[in-house]
Amino acid sequence: MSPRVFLFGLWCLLLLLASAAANYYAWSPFADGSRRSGATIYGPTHK
Amino acid sequence: MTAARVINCPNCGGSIALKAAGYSISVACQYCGSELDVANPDVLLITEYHRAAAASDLPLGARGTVKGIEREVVGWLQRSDGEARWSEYLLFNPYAGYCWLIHADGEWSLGTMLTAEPVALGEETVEHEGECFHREYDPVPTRTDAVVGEFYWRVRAGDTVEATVYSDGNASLSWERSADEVNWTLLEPLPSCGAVPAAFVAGQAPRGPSGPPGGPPQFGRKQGSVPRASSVPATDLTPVARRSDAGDLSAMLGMAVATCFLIALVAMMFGAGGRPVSQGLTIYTGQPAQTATLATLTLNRPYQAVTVTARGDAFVNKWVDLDYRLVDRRTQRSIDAYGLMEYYAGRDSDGPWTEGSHQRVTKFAAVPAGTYDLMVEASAQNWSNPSVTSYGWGSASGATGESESVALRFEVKPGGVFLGNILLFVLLTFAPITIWIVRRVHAAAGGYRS
Repeated sequence: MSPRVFLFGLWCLLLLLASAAANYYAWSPFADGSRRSGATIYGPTHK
Repeated sequence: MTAARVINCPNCGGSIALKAAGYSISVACQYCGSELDVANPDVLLITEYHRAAAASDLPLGARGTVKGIEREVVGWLQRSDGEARWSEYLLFNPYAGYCWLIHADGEWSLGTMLTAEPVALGEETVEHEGECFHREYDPVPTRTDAVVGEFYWRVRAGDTVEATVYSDGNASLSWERSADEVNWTLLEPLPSCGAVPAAFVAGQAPRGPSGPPGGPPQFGRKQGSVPRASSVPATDLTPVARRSDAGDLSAMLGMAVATCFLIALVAMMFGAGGRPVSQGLTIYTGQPAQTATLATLTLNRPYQAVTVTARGDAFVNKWVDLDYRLVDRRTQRSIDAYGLMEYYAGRDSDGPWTEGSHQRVTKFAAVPAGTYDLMVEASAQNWSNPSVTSYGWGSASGATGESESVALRFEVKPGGVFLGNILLFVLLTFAPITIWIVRRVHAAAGGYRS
């Protein structure tokens, strides 16, 4: 196994652990919690 | 292998068999270390020494098979760069030419001189046969400490060159610059360290300046310590297969795919929740917001997500503001979230169009364990002019005063999978591979060429 493959394996392991931690704490930067209304664009925006 | 020319050392009288007669320029006597000019028919003494030859692992004349070609050790250099000392053995075959065996830090590698200079991709990167090599350290003075045997150039103890090594993680490129030339050598690792001495056995030893035929020990080996054989051992030394970039790339892609699968699997496992609770609510456009308690949830895990899916009836050109509040019964602290459901349709010069959805999924993250009441404050507005795009900023601009009903149904479920999280981790997983590929493509296009 070359060093770069080994390092990439470590990177994958790190991401897997980070993912498991994020899931354990049910954490996400994409959650809707704590958003407040009042700054939303209404109406169609495709035009 | 080839007819050897025998000369006598002008200094000590030792018998020296030139293995590469006609190719060799200089010889260092293996008995006294004197350096001889053999390019001249009358062998000239370049530098006179009276010292015992230094110890080495392979005696002059030892033969072995490297890459399927029988080769003979014709020269040996001991070199150092101030921090490390290593041995370099010059191998010769009259048909295949020269190559090197390098013994450093207990590891053996095969050195092949490059006839074409690698392509410079930058200050510290070169490319050779499609592989990128990165410089490991700045060039350092490298000194030849001891010389024994014959060489195709004039070499003498004390010669100093600037040298460095470029590596691709497996093979290496040695760069050396002397006063008048630059040399590149490809270094490929050989199998386990014991295999190399075992694969080379001594050939016919020349006669020394005194003593019986067989002469004094070569390279400091004790006499008889090296088995003498007339035949070349069957062991063929072949460099350890180079792991190509393509091999590494496929391995990394496999690891990335497996990692993404595990990330998704873990997300699904943690995202599983309890049974969903369903609740309906009817609101009217233009009316004050209506408040309702949608569900009471008991969350047992230390932290959990909560997913609220709101579905509206087939309304058109309306939006629905949904302010959720998840209130902890014990502490009365609330976690707020907001969702906007909107659906518009109309017709313009391009024909009919629609925008939006009758469904809105809102997710709470990191909700601590406890019992919660989920409340919603919902209000709906009409959008007045479908033919003209209208924007409001926190207000119901464009709304009409006519009140129409909007039927909503909420489904509340403990748990939830954040697809954004999965996507983020997938991107991070593939980021190094992407960067590597982009750099390779860029390098292949000469983008880093200086």
